[in-house]
Amino acid sequence: MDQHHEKLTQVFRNVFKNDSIEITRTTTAADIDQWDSITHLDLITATEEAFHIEITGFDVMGLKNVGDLLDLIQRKLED
Amino acid sequence: MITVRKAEKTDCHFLARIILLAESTGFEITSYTGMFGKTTEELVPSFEKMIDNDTDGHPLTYKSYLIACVDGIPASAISVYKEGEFGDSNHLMTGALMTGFDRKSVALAFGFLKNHGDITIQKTPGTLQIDCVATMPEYRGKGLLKELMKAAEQRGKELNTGEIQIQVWKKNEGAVAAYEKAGYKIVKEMMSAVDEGNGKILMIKNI
Repeated sequence: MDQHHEKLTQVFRNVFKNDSIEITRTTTAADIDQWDSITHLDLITATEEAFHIEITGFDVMGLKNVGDLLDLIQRKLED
Repeated sequence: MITVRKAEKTDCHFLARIILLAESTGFEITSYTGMFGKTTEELVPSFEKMIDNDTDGHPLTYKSYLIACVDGIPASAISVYKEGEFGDSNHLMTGALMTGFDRKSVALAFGFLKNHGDITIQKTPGTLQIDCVATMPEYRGKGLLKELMKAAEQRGKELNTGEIQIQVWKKNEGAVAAYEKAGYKIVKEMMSAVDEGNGKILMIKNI
């Protein structure tokens, strides 16, 4: 999971064009400027590409924070 | 007789029409028809399918709606939810849109929104959000929205939100006046660079 966390941090930094972004399991949209509906789609697409997984709209609706996204990545990789 | 109830799965077709009707006042700078380049009639089937999801906390699910009925027939509706209760509402809407449209269409639609980013007003976590307010034309003038707003305020009290937020188009003076009459105050304006004199207004009421 630590490996996923590190890789996802890089995804966030690329999408938000900010190399100082740090994420934790409790990070939400309220913690990161510009994390709106538009960048959320970019983030999901970039996550899919980085981890070679497919994320559906229903998966996205189950995400409340970064921890949920990390758990989703883990589940998808185990499928 | 007017009654107010929570929406159910069987209301999705009616609610799809309400969502698109709410965006057809003629004052919109952004709208779903503009985002997807389709007519209301073309969008109804996709919206009906899309809002048939059980994730509460955003306007693109039947779960967040209150419906006012006249003699048992759905006539008016509003989306009411506590921002952040089930996740960021904008993110949940992204997910919902991904269930109703292919990824390319959603990306194009967001590109349209991005061009109007200057009118974006962030929703405050923990506040009660009111969205997608509309009444079917044949039922207007019967006081249905007043009943729905009362029910929404009651919901806000139950959820202990303390503040209700509504975003309105500035040129929609009728809606702004109606909300002011109901006790809402303008606290923010984001003016559009492309539609002179128009923009988004944030109105709030403390309960």
